Amino acid sequence: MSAMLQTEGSNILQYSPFNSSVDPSFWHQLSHVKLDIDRLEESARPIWGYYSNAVPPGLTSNLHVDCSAYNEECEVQKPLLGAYGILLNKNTLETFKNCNKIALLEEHGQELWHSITSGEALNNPALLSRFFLLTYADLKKYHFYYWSAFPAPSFPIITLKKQPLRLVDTFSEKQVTELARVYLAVDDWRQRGYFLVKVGSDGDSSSINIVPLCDIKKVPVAIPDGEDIKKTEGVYVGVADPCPLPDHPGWPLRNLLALLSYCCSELVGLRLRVLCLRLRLLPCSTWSTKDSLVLEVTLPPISTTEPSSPETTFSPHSESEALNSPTEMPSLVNNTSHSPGSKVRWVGWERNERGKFGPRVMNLSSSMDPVRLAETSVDLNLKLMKWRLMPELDLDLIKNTRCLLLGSGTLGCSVARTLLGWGVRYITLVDNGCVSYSNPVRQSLFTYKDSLNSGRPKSEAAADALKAIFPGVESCGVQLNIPMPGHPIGPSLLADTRTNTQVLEELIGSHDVVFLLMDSRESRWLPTLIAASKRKLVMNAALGFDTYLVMRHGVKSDDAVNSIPDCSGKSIPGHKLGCYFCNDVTAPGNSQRDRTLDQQCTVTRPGISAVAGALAVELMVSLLQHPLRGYAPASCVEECHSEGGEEGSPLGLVPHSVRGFLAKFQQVSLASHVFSQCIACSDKVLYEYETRGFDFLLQAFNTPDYLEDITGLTQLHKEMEDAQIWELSDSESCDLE
Amino acid sequence: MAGCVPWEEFNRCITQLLTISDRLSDGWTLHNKDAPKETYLVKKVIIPDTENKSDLSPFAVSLEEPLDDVLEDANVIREAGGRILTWEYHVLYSRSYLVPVLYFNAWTHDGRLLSLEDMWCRVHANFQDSLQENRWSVLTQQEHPVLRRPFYQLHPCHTAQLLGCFRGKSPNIVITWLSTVGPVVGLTLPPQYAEITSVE
Repeated sequence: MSAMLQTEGSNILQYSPFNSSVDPSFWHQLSHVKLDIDRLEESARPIWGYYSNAVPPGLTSNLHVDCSAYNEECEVQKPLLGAYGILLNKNTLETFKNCNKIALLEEHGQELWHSITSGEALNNPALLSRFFLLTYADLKKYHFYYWSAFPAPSFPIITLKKQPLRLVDTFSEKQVTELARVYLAVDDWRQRGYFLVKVGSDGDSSSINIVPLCDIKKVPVAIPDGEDIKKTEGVYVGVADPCPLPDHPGWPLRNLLALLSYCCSELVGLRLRVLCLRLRLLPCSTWSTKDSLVLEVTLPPISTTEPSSPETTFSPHSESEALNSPTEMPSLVNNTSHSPGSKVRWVGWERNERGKFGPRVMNLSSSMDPVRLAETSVDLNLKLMKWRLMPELDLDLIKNTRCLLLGSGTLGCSVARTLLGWGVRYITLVDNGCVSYSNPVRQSLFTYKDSLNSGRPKSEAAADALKAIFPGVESCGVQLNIPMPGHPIGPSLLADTRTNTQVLEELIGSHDVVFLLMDSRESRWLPTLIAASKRKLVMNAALGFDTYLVMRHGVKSDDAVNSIPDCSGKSIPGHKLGCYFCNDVTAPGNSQRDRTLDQQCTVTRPGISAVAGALAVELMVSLLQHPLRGYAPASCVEECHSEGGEEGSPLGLVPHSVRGFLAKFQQVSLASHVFSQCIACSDKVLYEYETRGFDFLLQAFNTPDYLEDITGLTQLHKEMEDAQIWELSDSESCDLE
Repeated sequence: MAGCVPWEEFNRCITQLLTISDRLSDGWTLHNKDAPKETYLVKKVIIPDTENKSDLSPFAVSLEEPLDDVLEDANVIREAGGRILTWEYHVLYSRSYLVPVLYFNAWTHDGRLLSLEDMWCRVHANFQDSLQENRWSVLTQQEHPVLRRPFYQLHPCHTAQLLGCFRGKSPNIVITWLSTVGPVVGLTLPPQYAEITSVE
């Protein structure tokens, strides 16, 4: 109560303004209307808003607009009330910003003023509930700017002589319920916002009636001299009040009093009962009006509506002047003017969240931007797997794993697509070739178009295809020749080779997992070495005609103390697992002598790359879910189907290598030890690379036997030849322990 | 299955629900009336938002205009703008499961949709414990079949089983179902629905 009388002169009636509440569905509909119907049209469009006078304490008076705003008829349900709105959608942020807000308010105030002066608002009082919405829709970013105004004249200024009463202080319990009943029985929402309430003199609850506002001249509205406002009987000026504050009515009363002071001059100077009707749903689900307010209002004469501040005129031609010095405009009060609206000062622009005059912004990219929707859906699909089947699955870890795919052919395409399926967002593809006519049927990221005009670079075409499949992916293609041992570097190639090596080092350094998916054994050597040196996880896939090999490289441990001893021969710890080259006793470069699976890869059964590529990704994912990641031990006992938890990944086992034989539709999991004389990952080679860098690499590229010499393989060969016990064909079975 | 609800029954039930809602001014409305078998009920509930604060972006701040003098108004009470949270509940018919499905969404005053985790936190405390076990098989996010926008959903896979228990005991299976599952996500039906249902 004290709020009303806090400072001198503040016992004037103060209204609580509307807050605009724009439903996202309004913007969905606006986008549709904008793109399909209005296009570049900027003309005003009538819309509907609605508000409620059943607002529980704790909320504010809100005026809502949603997708129903564009309907031809206002279809509000009881107890909601409609409001007449105008949508002014601007095509650019500039026009939104630069349009004269005061002139706009004036223009729309005039329309309200017309409804008042013509008496139209007495017959359809809902015309007093007006608003307009100035908007700009950024349909690229799905940002929506809006600024609402609820025009009201700055008069009449009402001085309250008495505190507002709560209705329960004058009405009986029965009467507050009966009032709700008769009020909600009014079917036309247009008559439910502003009305008259006739309360019978016998105190009987059955004699409460709602009378249309247009009857105001037929019923005695004024309180007889000397009668106390607390006397229940009489006629009340009623307004549906959306404000839940205990001492203040909401915005609608403001325009109602303006209407009465203009149209019912006979009431000026007399005391009126104003009933601000507020509905409240009781726990027993019946409506009550007990929170309503009763005000005693005396309308001041209209000619002296604003004694303290002069009324001003805003001409559209002097907008900027009006903006700059509004209070210095001459006062043009003139009772006999034919267009009194032009003398009225209008208020009603809504303030933003921080209480300043300015627009609000709604960012709906997450619910409207198709790219964002695709991302959400992809993640959601994966989350369902987590929620429904595997709560311990760490999806963010997978999503944030940066994958480098060396090779963008059949394997590269298959791996990339499966990574997308797991929600991986960061994929870099490397290749040195272009898409040829034979590629698209086997390499799932390419189409015939990519092979035209000598073919697009594979890495680039594959990266683009990934984005076309899922725009949320950050894919990038790098055309690169990977230097190979045993392929001598002439002086003309030296600079290129140095650059390529550096690029590869940087690429491996900036990713978490390196996939080796090339079609030659030699090209796997350098990335194996670099990744071993950088302690990166390496997934390797290689194809034969009807065989495949999928393996993870062991990850070197920096902590010798931490090295776990072999688990009684049943499994090998991750740091003791071999790399692709550990099984070989020859350096790459002289590949004619010792063909491995991958070297025949151009003649493979077409389905095999999809199988191997998918396995490589699934192995990576299982490994990432293992608490030890790359250091996870691999079982070297076949058919190890013992309790799933044994290997520690919620997804099951994390084998070292998987070999498949399509001719028999068989697959075996194997594990093998790191080889101390490996030409790609042995300590000796890593030491040479880490201390001598490119000079060492150059020597390996140029000198065919250099790697075998420094690792002691040459010596080993010599001994083996002497002993005559080795046959190359046995090398695989020797790995099996 | 005994708990399956044929479309005709669903339609009859929601028509009755609407009649009761209109009588109580409870706010349910019928949407998508013109699409056969795709009509659904909607109710919007607005509650005070005590948790979500939104800071106006610097860009929005840059669009403010110095209108305080021109719009000087002694007749306004400036209260701290109470923020609101809007909940929208949709009752749809699932043709795959032949049962009613509850879709819902909630957004803050600036249009931000509540996340699934937010939603879970707002699941009524009485239900949190019992749903903890398989919470995500109950509450999931799905594309709204008519609006084609992300909505939350109480998954219909157990609905037929649940409704089977009420067969023969409820004159309006949709009202019975809604009053059972609604409270999980803050939607309550006034008791009049039950009274009126049993009388008719």
